Amino acid sequence: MKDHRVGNLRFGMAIDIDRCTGCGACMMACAVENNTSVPPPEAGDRRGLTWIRVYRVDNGKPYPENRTVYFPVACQHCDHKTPCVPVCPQNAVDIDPQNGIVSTIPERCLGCRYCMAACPYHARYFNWWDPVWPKGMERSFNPDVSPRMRGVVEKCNFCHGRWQAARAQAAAEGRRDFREGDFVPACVEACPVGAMTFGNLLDPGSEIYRLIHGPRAFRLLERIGTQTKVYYLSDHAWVRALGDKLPEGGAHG
Amino acid sequence: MDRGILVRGADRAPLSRFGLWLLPWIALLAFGIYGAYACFAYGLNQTNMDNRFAFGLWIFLDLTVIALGAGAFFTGFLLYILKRKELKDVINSAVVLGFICYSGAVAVLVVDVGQPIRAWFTFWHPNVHSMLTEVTFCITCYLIVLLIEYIPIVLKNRRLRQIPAFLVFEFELHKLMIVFAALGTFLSFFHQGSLGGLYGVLHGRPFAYREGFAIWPSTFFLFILSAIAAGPSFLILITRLVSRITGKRLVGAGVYDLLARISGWLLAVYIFLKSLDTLIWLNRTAPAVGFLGYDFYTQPSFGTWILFAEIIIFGLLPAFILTNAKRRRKPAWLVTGALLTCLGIAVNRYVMTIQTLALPTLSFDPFLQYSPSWQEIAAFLLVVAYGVILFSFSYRYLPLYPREKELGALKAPSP
Amino acid sequence: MDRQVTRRGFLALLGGGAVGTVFSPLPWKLLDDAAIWTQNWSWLPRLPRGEVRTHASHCTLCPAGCGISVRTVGGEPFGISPIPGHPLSGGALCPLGFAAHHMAYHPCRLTDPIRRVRERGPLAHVPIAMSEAISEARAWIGAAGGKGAVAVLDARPERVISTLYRWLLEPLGGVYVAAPGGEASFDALDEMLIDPPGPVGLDLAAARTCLSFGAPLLDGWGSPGALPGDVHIIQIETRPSRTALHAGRWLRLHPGTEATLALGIAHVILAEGWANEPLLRERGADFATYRQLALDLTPARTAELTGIGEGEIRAAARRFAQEGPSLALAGTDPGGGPLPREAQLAVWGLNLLVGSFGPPGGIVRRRAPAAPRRRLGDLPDRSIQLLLLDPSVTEAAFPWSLVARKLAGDQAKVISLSPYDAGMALRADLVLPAPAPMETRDEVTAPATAPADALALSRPLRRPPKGVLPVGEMLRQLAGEAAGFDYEALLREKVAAIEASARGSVYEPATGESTPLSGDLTSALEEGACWVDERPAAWPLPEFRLLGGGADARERMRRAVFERPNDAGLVLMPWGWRGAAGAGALPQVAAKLYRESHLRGEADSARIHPETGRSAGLRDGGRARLGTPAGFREVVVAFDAAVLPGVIHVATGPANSSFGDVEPVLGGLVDLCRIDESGSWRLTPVTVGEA
Repeated sequence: MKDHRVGNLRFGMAIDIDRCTGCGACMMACAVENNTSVPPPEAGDRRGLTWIRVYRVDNGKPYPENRTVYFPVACQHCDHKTPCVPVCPQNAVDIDPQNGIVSTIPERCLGCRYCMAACPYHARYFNWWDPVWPKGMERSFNPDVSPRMRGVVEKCNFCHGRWQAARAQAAAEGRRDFREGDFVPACVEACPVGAMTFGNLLDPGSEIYRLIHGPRAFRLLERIGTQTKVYYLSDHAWVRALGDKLPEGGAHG
Repeated sequence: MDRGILVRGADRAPLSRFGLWLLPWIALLAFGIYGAYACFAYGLNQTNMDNRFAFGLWIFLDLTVIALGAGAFFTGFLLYILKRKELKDVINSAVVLGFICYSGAVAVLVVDVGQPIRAWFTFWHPNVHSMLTEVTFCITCYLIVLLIEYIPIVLKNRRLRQIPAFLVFEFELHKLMIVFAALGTFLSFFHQGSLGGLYGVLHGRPFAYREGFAIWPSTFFLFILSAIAAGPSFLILITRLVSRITGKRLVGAGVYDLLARISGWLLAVYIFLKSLDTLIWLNRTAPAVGFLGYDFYTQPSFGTWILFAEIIIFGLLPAFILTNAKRRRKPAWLVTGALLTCLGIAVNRYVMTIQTLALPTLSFDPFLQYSPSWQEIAAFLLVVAYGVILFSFSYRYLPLYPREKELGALKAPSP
Repeated sequence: MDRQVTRRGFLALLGGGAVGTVFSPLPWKLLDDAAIWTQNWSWLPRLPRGEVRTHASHCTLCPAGCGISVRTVGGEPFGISPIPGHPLSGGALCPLGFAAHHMAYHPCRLTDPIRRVRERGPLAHVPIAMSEAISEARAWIGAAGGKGAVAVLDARPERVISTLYRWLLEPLGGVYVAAPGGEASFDALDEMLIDPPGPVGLDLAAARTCLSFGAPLLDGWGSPGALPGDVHIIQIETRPSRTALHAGRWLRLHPGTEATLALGIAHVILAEGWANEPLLRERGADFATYRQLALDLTPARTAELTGIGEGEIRAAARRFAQEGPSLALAGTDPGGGPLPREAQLAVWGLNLLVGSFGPPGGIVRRRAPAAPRRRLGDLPDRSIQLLLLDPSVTEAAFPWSLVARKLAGDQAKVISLSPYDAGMALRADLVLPAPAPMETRDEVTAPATAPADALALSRPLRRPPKGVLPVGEMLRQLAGEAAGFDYEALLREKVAAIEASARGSVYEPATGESTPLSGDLTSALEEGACWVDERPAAWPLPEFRLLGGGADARERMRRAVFERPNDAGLVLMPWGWRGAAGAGALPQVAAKLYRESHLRGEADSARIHPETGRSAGLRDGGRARLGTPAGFREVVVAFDAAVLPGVIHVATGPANSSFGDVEPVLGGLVDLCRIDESGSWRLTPVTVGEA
């Protein structure tokens, strides 16, 4: 596939694992921002819709050597040979050449779930049920994000609705460039401890550029070569090893 | 009562007995329809698939059934292109079998996708990079080819033959059979291969990912090979089964021998190449992304035993049986060999589908299990029942086995 | 015409027609339409349209009162974000706050009053008109005779609403009671100070060391979100809570030994001479007795009783005493309740030892005097004939038996003002529907633990359903439309009083800056501003009794410190997180997210040490049955190597499936817990077996 990249804008995220307290505010803000539906209780954790999901990971040791961290995982927006983009039979998955956001067209999705099989980060979620909302609740939906129906796949898209609103705002101000702080995904805005940073990975002056080029940065499954645009930060070697640690049968999660 | 449309010259059971035979299959069909209906009405939560097991029983069985249905195009290829005339005995039933396999697989796929009404979007917005697009196009075309190949068989029905227009149409169509056989072969190569390519391109799943030639991973070629190895074996099994049930010989002994020999040698080549591919994968492809072979087999339910079973018990063993002339002439050996071949293909599709998805990818993923729900099993049984019913009707009213009368009963000495 | 229609001809027509149709636009148009049909089913929600506006306001889901920025469209809120740098929340917002606007649509939400009809079932009810409900309530108020027969239970005292409750109770001789639990209990501190100087707050942000005895700093204590950046937290608790896992140091002590550890630390401080003994001897009426008791408790003995190593005890004591300003906190878990009285005394006493009483970084004085309120435990048994529950009690988590024993038998009535028929409202005979968040103007005050008072408003951003009245208006009607029961007027008076005092500063969300208060506060508050009081000058150390009041104070402390609770067998320690500790209503999306991620302890999830679990015959991920003298409960088990062997931590809160189609359930885990003499339900001996 020819290189899809164009321009000097590439959105990415850095999540500081040492700071994350596992509160789940990012998950809540994401679900509310994106009008995520509420499957019935029997969905459990295997058929839920958690565009960003915080995993609790510990080192399995007893007190006082025990250590626990919380790992928020959403779509990693793989930049190189994005696994889910070439596999969709109807081009319903797209990586935007201008900013690197990997997004889905829910109205075109057939629900074949091939992209879900392709994604190693379990970032894609299927609507196993028809969404059912209490009567009248659609009045409290975010008007910028279309709700999905059953039988389609959905995932994080770096709050695409906010990006479009920011572009409209910039256009109204007569400019076409992206400036840091123009828009921020709901999860980043929500984090009460400021563990999440978002911005243009190619802008040397941005905070995120500084973070991802520091010694604390690592990514998930770097050896597969997906060159994800979501970075993680930690001082601790055991946490950094989680990115590529070989999976053990029945690892803690 | 239906004497007028029964196959000319052959004896068939009275209609009441036929009806009795159909009854349990119709009941199964009804059960299957109910299962499929539940999925359409309530959504795919009726299955036991989930976000980790995006593919389940249906995809596994679809792939198996399509591989087994390869007997249709391969027999056509052998007959019309390579001119192996013995296979005339069996080509009609092979076509019907192929048609059943493919139409059944497509029916299950319609239930499997979340939005079946959008199935045609693949034709409207095709993604040239996706193996699944290729599969969709090819299978659709091939199903049409099978339908076209089925039509002459239908038109051979005693009554329909009497309509001159149909007779002429059937005759002309038969002259084109070689074209359709060639087309069918071409299409089948591609979709059998692309079904393998589905898994081989998943570079996010080191268990499934394979290197290959150009855009085609090795699984592309391995799937084609295994399909053409299994197709004849499946044909052998079904023909012997029908033969047993009806008490007639149906096809000449040379047919079984030819099919078994081809199946055995193709299987042997396949197993050799698969072993080579497995070694390359374990020693080069997977370690290149940091996975040692052992990592894939740490779960007891998916231990190394499954790899050995696939290659040796369901691969080398049936190849050994079927390539040996003396052994394959003995019915017990023949059936065992054919059965093991078909099961081997099923194991291979199962491993590529289910094991790929069961293995954790992130370091904090647990290993998860999956077993199908009754609705999934029902939908699959729907296909089985549909197949049996369609085949029964075809056998009863269409000349599936041209030499049936000539060869006589199963117990009688061969002519 | 003599032409016959033959079958052949008919079939030919059909065949030809089929082929011809393919070449017509019809099938392609139908296909195209199908694409539109599959995108526009009638049951798909239609998104709201209109201009998007942003308003600054404050969240009312819990006492923290976080500043929020609310986006609305078409007169309806749709998105909530935190306000960075807000004085009440520090720019944080807890997960529940993001979906506060969903609560108006909760399946349990009431739009009419309901009367419980217990003959048809424990939760069966019928809707009735508001006028009928009010007159029934007034009848019950009239029928309840005698002093102390009418009571109000309020989980958020010090609001203007609280004043209205007191006005309602006054002519009836009723009692105003603060609900048990809550995020902080200063009762023991009040008991300790001979002449209490008034309300106090905890200046955690200015401290350098914090000795937190079980205070869930990350799970709903004070303001949610972050542990203050520079404080070194030593978290002392049995459970591997999120706070414990993130603290600078976690001391995992034996359940119920907080008093021992506190006094053990006091021993080290006194023995090393790190305390200002002359001052303490001068101000502390029982300092000599306390000192002797502390010195009797050697570090070795403390280590033996608490399970914390001697080195750790010394290190904690050194850090606390030498790296100040330091603060020792006697925590209250939202689901596990407060520490026992003696433990609280011992912990608050540590602050007095190191002089953390008065200056910044310690226990500081707040300005507004607290109105008197009674403790539930102090009321005579079977004395209440009519109990009124404030909306803040709906989601509270405390054993109902604490209340039930004060009710005067079967003829006692309970009225709940609640937006939802859930949680404690299920205990009521009559529920009056209160507004959901953002439906009325509400007062937001600083949490009870804050170092300074504050005042802000939660503004109405959506219209409440017809028939739902503001709480103030309902109280006015309950009081027979008595004069002066004007909530809005009282609120204006409160604001005017603050304006007149010209104290404190006003934080403007629009600019993000705080400026000293001058002039008009009312309109600033209407725009989402927040007023924060100035800190009063540190006041001199009052006189105190470190062991509390009562003739047997020493004996009670000695018993609490030196005797380890009988812990043969398994101990149940319930816990919860603020906003979701009780069985009240949660945003559906919150319940969904937590059960789909197992991130937080959903209700009835239990953590147990693998060995303890296995020897009890349990399986990781399996179900277990907990038994106490009060009943049984099924829980889901998770093995956790960080849990102390012999303890089982079970989360309280609403059942994950208790929303939507499933009926809420009366009673929760805390109702199985044993209540000790000081009204605490933190520890309960329990039997466990596989379910």
